[in-house]
Amino acid sequence: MRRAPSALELRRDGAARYLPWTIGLKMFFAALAVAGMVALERVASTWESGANAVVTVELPAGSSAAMIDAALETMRRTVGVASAELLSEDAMADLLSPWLGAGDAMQDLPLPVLIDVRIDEGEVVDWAEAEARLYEAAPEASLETGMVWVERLVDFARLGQLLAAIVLMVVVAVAALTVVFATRSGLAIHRETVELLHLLGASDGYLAREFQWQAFWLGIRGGVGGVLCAGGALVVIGFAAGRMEAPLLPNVGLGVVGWLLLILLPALSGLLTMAAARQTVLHDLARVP
Amino acid sequence: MVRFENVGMRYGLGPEVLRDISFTLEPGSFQFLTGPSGAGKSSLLRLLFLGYRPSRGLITMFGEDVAEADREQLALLRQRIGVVFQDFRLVDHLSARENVALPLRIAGVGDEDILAPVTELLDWVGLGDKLDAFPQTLSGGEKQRLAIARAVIRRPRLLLADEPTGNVDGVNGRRILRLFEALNDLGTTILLATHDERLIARYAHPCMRLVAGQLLEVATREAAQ
Repeated sequence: MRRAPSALELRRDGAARYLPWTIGLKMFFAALAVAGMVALERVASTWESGANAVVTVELPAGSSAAMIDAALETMRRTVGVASAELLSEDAMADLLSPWLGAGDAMQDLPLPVLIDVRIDEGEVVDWAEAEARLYEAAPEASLETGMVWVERLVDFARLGQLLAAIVLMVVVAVAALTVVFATRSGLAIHRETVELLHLLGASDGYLAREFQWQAFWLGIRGGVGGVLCAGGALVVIGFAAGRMEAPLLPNVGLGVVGWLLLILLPALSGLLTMAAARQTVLHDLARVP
Repeated sequence: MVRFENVGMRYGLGPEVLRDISFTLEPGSFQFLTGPSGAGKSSLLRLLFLGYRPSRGLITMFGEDVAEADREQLALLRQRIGVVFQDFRLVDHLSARENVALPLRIAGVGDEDILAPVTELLDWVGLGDKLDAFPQTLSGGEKQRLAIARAVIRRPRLLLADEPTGNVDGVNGRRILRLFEALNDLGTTILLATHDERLIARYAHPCMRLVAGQLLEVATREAAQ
Protein backbone atom coordinates (compact mmCIF):
# COMPACT_ATOMS: atom_id res chain seq x y z
CA MET A 1 0.00 0.00 0.00
CA ARG A 2 1.24 3.49 -0.82
CA ARG A 3 2.63 5.37 2.16
CA ALA A 4 0.55 8.40 3.10
CA PRO A 5 2.40 11.61 2.25
CA SER A 6 3.74 13.50 5.21
CA ALA A 7 2.82 17.08 6.00
CA LEU A 8 6.49 17.61 6.76
CA GLU A 9 8.45 16.78 3.63
CA LEU A 10 12.03 17.10 4.81
CA ARG A 11 13.35 15.76 1.51
CA ARG A 12 12.32 19.02 -0.10
CA ASP A 13 14.57 21.10 2.16
CA GLY A 14 17.99 22.28 1.08
CA ALA A 15 19.65 20.98 4.24
CA ALA A 16 17.92 17.58 4.21
CA ARG A 17 18.38 17.10 0.47
CA TYR A 18 22.13 16.96 0.94
CA LEU A 19 21.96 15.00 4.18
CA PRO A 20 22.51 11.59 2.49
CA TRP A 21 25.62 12.98 0.81
CA THR A 22 27.11 14.43 3.98
CA ILE A 23 26.14 11.36 6.00
CA GLY A 24 27.50 9.14 3.22
CA LEU A 25 30.85 10.90 3.32
CA LYS A 26 31.04 10.51 7.08
CA MET A 27 30.00 6.86 6.89
CA PHE A 28 32.76 6.33 4.31
CA PHE A 29 35.33 7.49 6.85
CA ALA A 30 33.55 5.62 9.64
CA ALA A 31 33.69 2.42 7.57
CA LEU A 32 37.41 2.89 6.92
CA ALA A 33 37.96 3.50 10.64
CA VAL A 34 36.00 0.36 11.54
CA ALA A 35 37.89 -1.64 8.92
CA GLY A 36 41.18 -0.29 10.29
CA MET A 37 40.22 -1.28 13.83
CA VAL A 38 39.17 -4.77 12.82
CA ALA A 39 42.20 -5.39 10.58
CA LEU A 40 44.61 -4.17 13.25
CA GLU A 41 42.86 -6.33 15.84
CA ARG A 42 43.36 -9.39 13.64
CA VAL A 43 47.00 -8.58 12.99
CA ALA A 44 47.72 -7.80 16.64
CA SER A 45 45.95 -10.98 17.79
CA THR A 46 47.99 -13.03 15.37
CA TRP A 47 51.20 -11.45 16.57
CA GLU A 48 50.18 -11.82 20.21
CA SER A 49 49.24 -15.47 19.86
CA GLY A 50 52.71 -16.07 18.46
CA ALA A 51 51.32 -18.12 15.60
CA ASN A 52 53.56 -16.29 13.24
CA ALA A 53 56.57 -15.99 15.52
CA VAL A 54 59.72 -17.66 14.31
CA VAL A 55 61.02 -19.47 17.36
CA THR A 56 64.48 -20.90 17.38
CA VAL A 57 66.58 -22.66 20.00
CA GLU A 58 70.28 -22.03 19.61
CA LEU A 59 73.08 -24.13 21.08
CA PRO A 60 76.77 -23.29 20.81
CA ALA A 61 78.87 -24.98 18.14
CA GLY A 62 80.14 -28.32 19.31
CA SER A 63 77.34 -28.94 21.81
CA SER A 64 77.06 -32.53 22.88
CA ALA A 65 74.43 -34.82 21.38
CA ALA A 66 72.98 -35.31 24.88
CA MET A 67 72.49 -31.58 25.33
CA ILE A 68 70.94 -31.27 21.89
CA ASP A 69 68.55 -34.14 22.64
CA ALA A 70 67.66 -32.60 25.99
CA ALA A 71 66.86 -29.29 24.32
CA LEU A 72 64.80 -31.03 21.62
CA GLU A 73 62.89 -33.06 24.19
CA THR A 74 62.20 -30.02 26.35
CA MET A 75 60.75 -28.07 23.45
CA ARG A 76 58.66 -31.01 22.23
CA ARG A 77 57.11 -31.33 25.71
CA THR A 78 56.24 -27.65 25.86
CA VAL A 79 52.49 -27.06 25.70
CA GLY A 80 51.47 -25.47 22.40
CA VAL A 81 54.52 -26.61 20.47
CA ALA A 82 53.64 -28.67 17.39
CA SER A 83 57.14 -29.75 16.51
CA ALA A 84 60.80 -29.13 17.32
CA GLU A 85 63.33 -30.29 14.74
CA LEU A 86 67.06 -29.99 14.46
CA LEU A 87 67.96 -27.82 11.51
CA SER A 88 69.86 -30.06 9.10
CA GLU A 89 73.20 -29.07 7.62
CA ASP A 90 71.57 -28.73 4.20
CA ALA A 91 68.95 -26.37 5.59
CA MET A 92 71.70 -24.35 7.32
CA ALA A 93 73.59 -24.23 4.01
CA ASP A 94 70.49 -22.91 2.26
CA LEU A 95 69.98 -20.23 4.91
CA LEU A 96 73.59 -19.03 4.76
CA SER A 97 74.16 -19.39 1.05
CA PRO A 98 73.25 -15.74 0.29
CA TRP A 99 76.22 -14.68 2.44
CA LEU A 100 78.66 -17.56 2.20
CA GLY A 101 77.91 -18.94 -1.23
CA ALA A 102 77.32 -22.54 -2.16
CA GLY A 103 80.89 -23.70 -1.52
CA ASP A 104 82.44 -25.64 1.35
CA ALA A 105 83.20 -22.57 3.47
CA MET A 106 80.64 -23.59 6.04
CA GLN A 107 82.50 -26.72 6.94
CA ASP A 108 85.34 -24.62 8.36
CA LEU A 109 83.09 -22.35 10.39
CA PRO A 110 81.96 -23.08 13.98
CA LEU A 111 78.26 -22.83 13.25
CA PRO A 112 75.79 -23.03 16.16
CA VAL A 113 73.21 -25.79 16.38
CA LEU A 114 69.70 -24.56 15.61
CA ILE A 115 66.37 -26.15 16.53
CA ASP A 116 63.35 -25.01 14.49
CA VAL A 117 60.27 -24.86 16.75
CA ARG A 118 56.77 -24.81 15.22
CA ILE A 119 53.72 -23.83 17.23
CA ASP A 120 50.19 -25.19 17.01
CA GLU A 121 47.96 -22.67 15.26
CA GLY A 122 46.01 -20.63 17.75
CA GLU A 123 48.02 -21.84 20.74
CA VAL A 124 49.59 -19.41 23.19
CA VAL A 125 52.90 -20.64 24.54
CA ASP A 126 54.28 -19.61 27.92
CA TRP A 127 57.76 -18.75 26.67
CA ALA A 128 59.09 -17.66 30.07
CA GLU A 129 58.29 -21.05 31.52
CA ALA A 130 59.67 -22.84 28.45
CA GLU A 131 62.90 -20.88 28.66
CA ALA A 132 63.32 -21.79 32.36
CA ARG A 133 62.89 -25.49 31.63
CA LEU A 134 65.24 -25.26 28.67
CA TYR A 135 67.86 -23.67 30.92
CA GLU A 136 67.53 -26.58 33.34
CA ALA A 137 67.84 -29.22 30.61
CA ALA A 138 70.46 -27.52 28.46
CA PRO A 139 72.10 -24.60 30.27
CA GLU A 140 73.97 -23.38 27.20
CA ALA A 141 70.87 -23.27 24.99
CA SER A 142 69.14 -19.99 24.31
CA LEU A 143 65.63 -19.34 23.11
CA GLU A 144 64.96 -16.74 20.43
CA THR A 145 61.22 -15.98 20.30
CA GLY A 146 61.35 -12.48 18.90
CA MET A 147 58.74 -11.52 21.49
CA VAL A 148 60.34 -8.18 22.28
CA TRP A 149 59.83 -6.72 18.85
CA VAL A 150 56.48 -8.54 18.50
CA GLU A 151 55.31 -6.78 21.66
CA ARG A 152 56.39 -3.45 20.23
CA LEU A 153 54.53 -4.17 17.00
CA VAL A 154 51.44 -5.17 18.97
CA ASP A 155 51.67 -1.93 20.97
CA PHE A 156 51.91 -0.04 17.69
CA ALA A 157 48.88 -1.88 16.33
CA ARG A 158 46.92 -1.09 19.51
CA LEU A 159 47.85 2.58 19.14
CA GLY A 160 46.58 2.42 15.56
CA GLN A 161 43.33 0.90 16.84
CA LEU A 162 42.98 3.69 19.41
CA LEU A 163 43.49 6.31 16.72
CA ALA A 164 40.91 4.60 14.48
CA ALA A 165 38.46 4.52 17.41
CA ILE A 166 39.00 8.24 18.02
CA VAL A 167 38.48 8.97 14.31
CA LEU A 168 35.30 6.86 14.43
CA MET A 169 33.95 8.74 17.46
CA VAL A 170 34.73 12.11 15.88
CA VAL A 171 33.06 11.07 12.62
CA VAL A 172 29.97 9.83 14.48
CA ALA A 173 29.81 13.02 16.54
CA VAL A 174 30.12 15.20 13.43
CA ALA A 175 27.45 13.10 11.68
CA ALA A 176 25.12 13.56 14.66
CA LEU A 177 25.77 17.31 14.68
CA THR A 178 25.02 17.45 10.96
CA VAL A 179 21.66 15.81 11.60
CA VAL A 180 20.95 18.18 14.50
CA PHE A 181 21.58 21.22 12.30
CA ALA A 182 19.59 19.75 9.39
CA THR A 183 16.69 19.00 11.75
CA ARG A 184 16.81 22.50 13.25
CA SER A 185 16.84 23.89 9.75
CA GLY A 186 13.85 21.66 8.89
CA LEU A 187 11.98 22.86 11.98
CA ALA A 188 12.65 26.47 11.01
CA ILE A 189 11.65 25.95 7.37
CA HIS A 190 8.46 24.12 8.35
CA ARG A 191 7.70 26.30 11.37
CA GLU A 192 4.22 27.13 10.10
CA THR A 193 3.37 23.51 9.35
CA VAL A 194 4.76 22.40 12.71
CA GLU A 195 2.57 25.02 14.41
CA LEU A 196 -0.42 23.91 12.36
CA LEU A 197 0.10 20.27 13.31
CA HIS A 198 0.37 21.29 16.95
CA LEU A 199 -2.91 23.15 16.70
CA LEU A 200 -4.52 20.15 15.02
CA GLY A 201 -3.62 18.16 18.12
CA ALA A 202 -0.25 16.68 17.24
CA SER A 203 1.88 15.85 20.26
CA ASP A 204 5.62 16.50 20.38
CA GLY A 205 6.08 12.75 19.98
CA TYR A 206 4.03 12.73 16.75
CA LEU A 207 6.13 15.55 15.29
CA ALA A 208 9.34 13.88 16.44
CA ARG A 209 8.23 10.67 14.67
CA GLU A 210 7.55 12.61 11.47
CA PHE A 211 11.12 13.91 11.55
CA GLN A 212 12.83 10.79 12.86
CA TRP A 213 11.56 8.38 10.19
CA GLN A 214 12.46 10.67 7.36
CA ALA A 215 15.88 11.23 8.94
CA PHE A 216 16.19 7.44 9.36
CA TRP A 217 15.74 6.76 5.64
CA LEU A 218 18.01 9.65 4.69
CA GLY A 219 20.61 8.18 7.06
CA ILE A 220 20.18 4.71 5.58
CA ARG A 221 20.65 6.08 2.07
CA GLY A 222 23.77 7.96 3.11
CA GLY A 223 25.07 4.97 5.03
CA VAL A 224 24.60 2.56 2.12
CA GLY A 225 26.38 4.94 -0.26
CA GLY A 226 29.26 5.55 2.13
CA VAL A 227 29.75 1.88 2.98
CA LEU A 228 29.60 0.80 -0.67
CA CYS A 229 32.34 3.30 -1.52
CA ALA A 230 34.37 2.23 1.52
CA GLY A 231 33.89 -1.44 0.60
CA GLY A 232 35.23 -0.75 -2.88
CA ALA A 233 38.20 1.12 -1.44
CA LEU A 234 38.93 -1.75 0.97
CA VAL A 235 38.84 -4.32 -1.83
CA VAL A 236 41.37 -2.24 -3.76
CA ILE A 237 43.54 -1.81 -0.65
CA GLY A 238 43.31 -5.56 0.06
CA PHE A 239 44.30 -6.36 -3.52
CA ALA A 240 47.27 -4.00 -3.31
CA ALA A 241 48.30 -5.40 0.09
CA GLY A 242 48.10 -8.93 -1.29
CA ARG A 243 50.64 -8.06 -3.96
CA MET A 244 53.07 -6.70 -1.38
CA GLU A 245 55.65 -9.02 0.11
CA ALA A 246 54.98 -8.26 3.73
CA PRO A 247 55.56 -11.30 5.92
CA LEU A 248 54.81 -9.29 9.06
CA LEU A 249 51.23 -8.68 7.88
CA PRO A 250 49.79 -12.15 7.99
CA ASN A 251 46.06 -11.34 7.86
CA VAL A 252 45.21 -7.88 6.64
CA GLY A 253 41.69 -8.98 5.71
CA LEU A 254 38.59 -8.00 7.69
CA GLY A 255 37.23 -11.46 8.24
CA VAL A 256 33.54 -12.25 8.67
CA VAL A 257 33.12 -10.00 11.71
CA GLY A 258 34.67 -7.04 9.93
CA TRP A 259 32.46 -7.36 6.86
CA LEU A 260 29.40 -7.89 9.07
CA LEU A 261 30.17 -4.67 10.92
CA LEU A 262 30.44 -2.85 7.61
CA ILE A 263 27.12 -4.29 6.46
CA LEU A 264 25.54 -3.13 9.73
CA LEU A 265 26.95 0.38 9.39
CA PRO A 266 24.10 1.75 7.18
CA ALA A 267 21.56 0.55 9.74
CA LEU A 268 23.61 2.16 12.51
CA SER A 269 23.78 5.31 10.39
CA GLY A 270 19.98 5.29 10.08
CA LEU A 271 19.55 4.75 13.82
CA LEU A 272 22.02 7.52 14.57
CA THR A 273 20.26 10.04 12.32
CA MET A 274 16.89 8.93 13.67
CA ALA A 275 17.92 9.36 17.30
CA ALA A 276 19.62 12.70 16.64
CA ALA A 277 16.58 14.04 14.76
CA ARG A 278 14.15 12.83 17.43
CA GLN A 279 16.09 14.32 20.32
CA THR A 280 16.53 17.61 18.47
CA VAL A 281 12.80 17.91 17.74
CA LEU A 282 11.78 17.01 21.29
CA HIS A 283 14.35 19.39 22.75
CA ASP A 284 13.40 22.30 20.51
CA LEU A 285 9.63 21.80 20.75
CA ALA A 286 9.81 21.74 24.55
CA ARG A 287 10.70 25.44 24.38
CA VAL A 288 7.65 26.30 22.28
CA PRO A 289 4.68 27.47 24.40
CA MET B 1 -17.68 23.61 28.01
CA VAL B 2 -15.39 26.66 27.96
CA ARG B 3 -14.99 29.07 30.84
CA PHE B 4 -12.74 32.13 31.05
CA GLU B 5 -12.36 33.88 34.39
CA ASN B 6 -10.48 37.19 34.57
CA VAL B 7 -8.09 36.07 31.87
CA GLY B 8 -5.26 38.35 30.84
CA MET B 9 -2.75 37.78 28.08
CA ARG B 10 0.45 39.45 26.98
CA TYR B 11 3.10 38.49 24.43
CA GLY B 12 6.44 38.26 26.15
CA LEU B 13 7.06 41.34 28.26
CA GLY B 14 4.73 43.52 26.18
CA PRO B 15 1.51 45.16 27.36
CA GLU B 16 -1.60 43.10 27.99
CA VAL B 17 -3.50 42.53 24.76
CA LEU B 18 -6.42 40.95 26.63
CA ARG B 19 -7.63 42.12 30.02
CA ASP B 20 -10.07 40.60 32.49
CA ILE B 21 -11.82 38.40 29.96
CA SER B 22 -14.66 36.40 31.49
CA PHE B 23 -17.26 34.40 29.60
CA THR B 24 -18.72 30.92 29.25
CA LEU B 25 -19.48 28.89 26.15
CA GLU B 26 -22.28 26.44 26.78
CA PRO B 27 -22.32 23.07 24.99
CA GLY B 28 -24.14 23.27 21.67
CA SER B 29 -24.13 27.07 21.58
CA PHE B 30 -23.36 29.30 18.60
CA GLN B 31 -21.55 32.49 19.46
CA PHE B 32 -20.17 35.35 17.42
CA LEU B 33 -17.04 37.23 18.44
CA THR B 34 -16.52 40.65 16.94
CA GLY B 35 -14.56 43.81 17.41
CA PRO B 36 -12.41 46.23 15.44
CA SER B 37 -9.04 45.23 14.05
CA GLY B 38 -6.44 44.97 16.79
CA ALA B 39 -9.08 44.50 19.49
CA GLY B 40 -7.65 41.09 20.39
CA LYS B 41 -9.95 38.68 18.51
CA SER B 42 -7.08 36.62 17.15
CA SER B 43 -5.37 36.59 20.55
CA LEU B 44 -8.56 35.39 22.22
CA LEU B 45 -8.94 32.70 19.58
CA ARG B 46 -5.32 31.76 20.18
CA LEU B 47 -6.11 31.18 23.83
CA LEU B 48 -9.19 29.21 22.84
CA PHE B 49 -7.37 26.85 20.49
CA LEU B 50 -4.63 26.50 23.09
CA GLY B 51 -1.96 28.09 20.95
CA TYR B 52 -0.83 30.28 23.82
CA ARG B 53 -1.02 30.29 27.60
CA PRO B 54 -2.71 33.17 29.47
CA SER B 55 -0.56 35.41 31.64
CA ARG B 56 -3.24 35.37 34.33
CA GLY B 57 -6.72 34.12 35.06
CA LEU B 58 -8.39 30.75 34.74
CA ILE B 59 -9.31 28.90 31.55
CA THR B 60 -11.33 25.72 31.84
CA MET B 61 -11.98 23.61 28.73
CA PHE B 62 -14.05 20.45 28.74
CA GLY B 63 -13.89 20.59 32.53
CA GLU B 64 -10.07 20.72 32.66
CA ASP B 65 -7.97 23.58 33.95
CA VAL B 66 -5.71 24.43 31.03
CA ALA B 67 -2.95 25.73 33.31
CA GLU B 68 -2.67 22.29 34.91
CA ALA B 69 -2.35 20.44 31.61
CA ASP B 70 1.07 19.25 30.44
CA ARG B 71 2.08 19.28 26.76
CA GLU B 72 0.67 15.81 26.10
CA GLN B 73 -2.68 16.69 27.69
CA LEU B 74 -2.81 19.96 25.75
CA ALA B 75 -2.40 17.98 22.52
CA LEU B 76 -5.33 15.75 23.50
CA LEU B 77 -7.45 18.80 24.36
CA ARG B 78 -6.62 20.34 20.97
CA GLN B 79 -7.87 17.17 19.29
CA ARG B 80 -11.32 18.02 20.65
CA ILE B 81 -11.23 21.46 19.06
CA GLY B 82 -11.66 22.25 15.38
CA VAL B 83 -10.11 25.44 14.05
CA VAL B 84 -10.84 27.26 10.80
CA PHE B 85 -8.07 29.76 10.23
CA GLN B 86 -8.56 33.04 8.45
CA ASP B 87 -5.70 32.23 6.06
CA PHE B 88 -6.87 28.58 5.75
CA ARG B 89 -3.42 27.15 6.62
CA LEU B 90 -3.74 24.29 4.16
CA VAL B 91 -0.65 22.22 3.42
CA ASP B 92 0.21 23.03 -0.18
CA HIS B 93 1.88 19.75 -1.11
CA LEU B 94 -1.01 17.65 0.19
CA SER B 95 -4.14 16.98 -1.84
CA ALA B 96 -7.58 18.03 -0.59
CA ARG B 97 -8.12 14.47 0.61
CA GLU B 98 -4.81 14.39 2.52
CA ASN B 99 -5.36 17.83 4.03
CA VAL B 100 -8.69 16.73 5.45
CA ALA B 101 -7.21 13.40 6.59
CA LEU B 102 -4.47 15.15 8.58
CA PRO B 103 -6.37 15.44 11.91
CA LEU B 104 -7.33 11.76 11.65
CA ARG B 105 -3.74 10.71 11.03
CA ILE B 106 -2.63 12.79 14.00
CA ALA B 107 -5.22 10.99 16.12
CA GLY B 108 -3.75 7.68 14.99
CA VAL B 109 -6.67 6.56 12.77
CA GLY B 110 -5.59 3.85 10.33
CA ASP B 111 -5.62 4.28 6.54
CA GLU B 112 -8.55 1.90 6.17
CA ASP B 113 -10.76 4.14 8.34
CA ILE B 114 -9.77 7.41 6.73
CA LEU B 115 -10.86 7.29 3.10
CA ALA B 116 -14.62 6.88 3.58
CA PRO B 117 -15.28 9.72 6.08
CA VAL B 118 -12.93 12.08 4.25
CA THR B 119 -14.65 11.44 0.92
CA GLU B 120 -18.06 11.80 2.51
CA LEU B 121 -17.18 15.07 4.22
CA LEU B 122 -15.59 16.59 1.12
CA ASP B 123 -18.76 15.68 -0.72
CA TRP B 124 -20.81 17.36 2.02
CA VAL B 125 -18.89 20.65 1.70
CA GLY B 126 -19.25 20.50 -2.08
CA LEU B 127 -15.73 19.38 -2.93
CA GLY B 128 -16.56 15.79 -3.89
CA ASP B 129 -15.01 16.33 -7.31
CA LYS B 130 -11.82 17.89 -5.89
CA LEU B 131 -10.50 14.99 -3.84
CA ASP B 132 -7.09 14.96 -5.48
CA ALA B 133 -6.85 18.69 -6.13
CA PHE B 134 -4.06 20.62 -4.47
CA PRO B 135 -4.86 23.80 -2.51
CA GLN B 136 -3.16 26.15 -4.97
CA THR B 137 -5.60 25.04 -7.70
CA LEU B 138 -8.69 25.84 -5.57
CA SER B 139 -10.61 29.10 -5.37
CA GLY B 140 -10.88 31.09 -2.13
CA GLY B 141 -14.31 29.65 -1.35
CA GLU B 142 -13.14 26.12 -2.06
CA LYS B 143 -10.12 26.57 0.17
CA GLN B 144 -12.35 27.86 2.93
CA ARG B 145 -14.67 24.86 2.64
CA LEU B 146 -11.66 22.55 2.57
CA ALA B 147 -10.38 24.21 5.77
CA ILE B 148 -13.81 23.71 7.35
CA ALA B 149 -13.83 20.06 6.32
CA ARG B 150 -10.40 19.60 7.93
CA ALA B 151 -11.62 21.36 11.09
CA VAL B 152 -14.68 19.12 11.51
CA ILE B 153 -13.42 15.74 10.25
CA ARG B 154 -12.74 14.61 13.79
CA ARG B 155 -16.20 15.75 14.94
CA PRO B 156 -14.86 18.31 17.41
CA ARG B 157 -16.98 19.37 20.33
CA LEU B 158 -15.86 22.96 19.84
CA LEU B 159 -15.34 24.68 16.49
CA LEU B 160 -13.48 27.98 16.32
CA ALA B 161 -13.55 29.99 13.11
CA ASP B 162 -11.51 33.12 12.48
CA GLU B 163 -13.11 35.33 9.82
CA PRO B 164 -14.32 32.32 7.83
CA THR B 165 -16.15 34.55 5.36
CA GLY B 166 -13.43 37.18 5.11
CA ASN B 167 -11.88 35.83 1.93
CA VAL B 168 -15.01 34.80 0.05
CA ASP B 169 -17.84 36.59 -1.74
CA GLY B 170 -21.34 36.98 -0.30
CA VAL B 171 -22.77 33.83 -1.87
CA ASN B 172 -19.94 31.66 -0.62
CA GLY B 173 -20.07 33.43 2.74
CA ARG B 174 -23.71 32.47 3.20
CA ARG B 175 -22.95 28.94 2.05
CA ILE B 176 -20.23 28.66 4.67
CA LEU B 177 -22.53 30.00 7.39
CA ARG B 178 -25.09 27.38 6.43
CA LEU B 179 -22.40 24.74 6.96
CA PHE B 180 -21.67 26.10 10.41
CA GLU B 181 -25.34 26.14 11.32
CA ALA B 182 -25.71 22.56 10.15
CA LEU B 183 -22.75 21.55 12.32
CA ASN B 184 -24.26 23.44 15.25
CA ASP B 185 -27.51 21.57 14.73
CA LEU B 186 -25.50 18.36 15.05
CA GLY B 187 -24.35 19.51 18.50
CA THR B 188 -21.03 21.23 17.82
CA THR B 189 -20.36 24.35 19.87
CA ILE B 190 -19.32 27.15 17.55
CA LEU B 191 -17.47 30.40 18.12
CA LEU B 192 -17.19 32.48 14.98
CA ALA B 193 -14.95 35.54 14.97
CA THR B 194 -15.84 38.17 12.38
CA HIS B 195 -15.78 41.91 11.94
CA ASP B 196 -18.76 41.69 9.55
CA GLU B 197 -21.58 43.35 11.48
CA ARG B 198 -24.12 42.61 8.70
CA LEU B 199 -23.35 38.93 8.97
CA ILE B 200 -23.88 39.03 12.74
CA ALA B 201 -27.14 40.94 12.32
CA ARG B 202 -28.47 38.31 9.95
CA TYR B 203 -28.40 35.55 12.59
CA ALA B 204 -29.95 35.27 16.01
CA HIS B 205 -26.83 34.06 17.82
CA PRO B 206 -25.31 35.89 20.77
CA CYS B 207 -22.27 38.06 20.11
CA MET B 208 -19.24 38.91 22.24
CA ARG B 209 -17.66 42.26 21.45
CA LEU B 210 -13.99 42.93 22.09
CA VAL B 211 -12.68 46.48 22.25
CA ALA B 212 -9.07 47.26 23.12
CA GLY B 213 -8.55 43.89 24.72
CA GLN B 214 -11.65 43.96 26.90
CA LEU B 215 -14.92 42.13 26.48
CA LEU B 216 -17.52 44.86 26.50
CA GLU B 217 -20.78 43.06 26.03
CA VAL B 218 -22.40 39.74 25.38
CA ALA B 219 -25.42 40.47 23.29
CA THR B 220 -27.95 38.75 21.12
CA ARG B 221 -29.40 40.24 17.96
CA GLU B 222 -32.60 40.91 19.81
CA ALA B 223 -30.76 42.73 22.58
CA ALA B 224 -28.83 44.78 20.02
CA GLN B 225 -32.05 45.76 18.32
